[in-house]
Amino acid sequence: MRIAVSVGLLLGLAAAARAQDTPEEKRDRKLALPFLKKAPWITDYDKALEESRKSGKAIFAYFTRSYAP
Amino acid sequence: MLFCHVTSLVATDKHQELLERKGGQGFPHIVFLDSSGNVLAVHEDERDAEAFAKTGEKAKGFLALRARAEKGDKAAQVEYALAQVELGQIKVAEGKERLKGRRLTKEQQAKLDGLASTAEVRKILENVTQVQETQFAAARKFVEMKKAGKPAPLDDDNFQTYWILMMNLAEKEKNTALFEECLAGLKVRFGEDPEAADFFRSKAAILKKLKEEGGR
Repeated sequence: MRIAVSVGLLLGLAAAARAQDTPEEKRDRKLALPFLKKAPWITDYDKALEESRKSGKAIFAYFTRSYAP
Repeated sequence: MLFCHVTSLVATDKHQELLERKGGQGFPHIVFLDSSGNVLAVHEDERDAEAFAKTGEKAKGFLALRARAEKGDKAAQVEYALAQVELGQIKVAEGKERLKGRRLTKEQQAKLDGLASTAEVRKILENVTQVQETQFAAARKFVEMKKAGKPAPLDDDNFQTYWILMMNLAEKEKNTALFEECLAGLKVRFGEDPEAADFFRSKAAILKKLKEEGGR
């Protein structure tokens, strides 16, 4: 029970710390997520359009957010 | 090719309004775009490779339709205009203007009317918040739309919201007839969905209570 409480406390403290992060920090944490490194994701819209024009390929666009509502 | 856009609310980040520009109403939102940023297809299915591939085929289909329309195929031009309205590439008003004088089939006219309703519902929902009175205000506008003979929205999300907000208003006002109509409206599309079974059971119980209490 003590271990569960400690882990719970740590998770709660981590969540509280994340909630106080700036929008920039939240964005940077989102952009550092592993899925963005596992495939060649482009995160700049203008660059995506340019690459699409050069390659002739359509864009698979995934819209997400880094802030909580 | 893969593009991930993060709405960050960071003032200096570019294209923070991009979700809305590409027709998104919430997260996540997945679409196929061409190199000019036009939406070719919206993904509304499961999020797996097979489903993404199916949406990719829809995008290819749209491009083929565009090519036929640009070559002067009259039938394709009608379908293309409807598809452009559906994808949000052009507004309903422009779509209607382009289709003026064209002969539409019953299905095509129904689709155009449905797209017009969808756009109107989306506009009304822009003012809806967690505050219940804003939801009732929207529901009253939907009731007026229904009275004017306008069809329900075409896409699942707005269709659901349209009927549910009206249903909640009906429950509040003890309007049994409206509540029953809303329940029937939802059942048409979601009645066979096992995940909706509990929802329909609970609403059927409310309808029974309204009838027993002699609501109008």
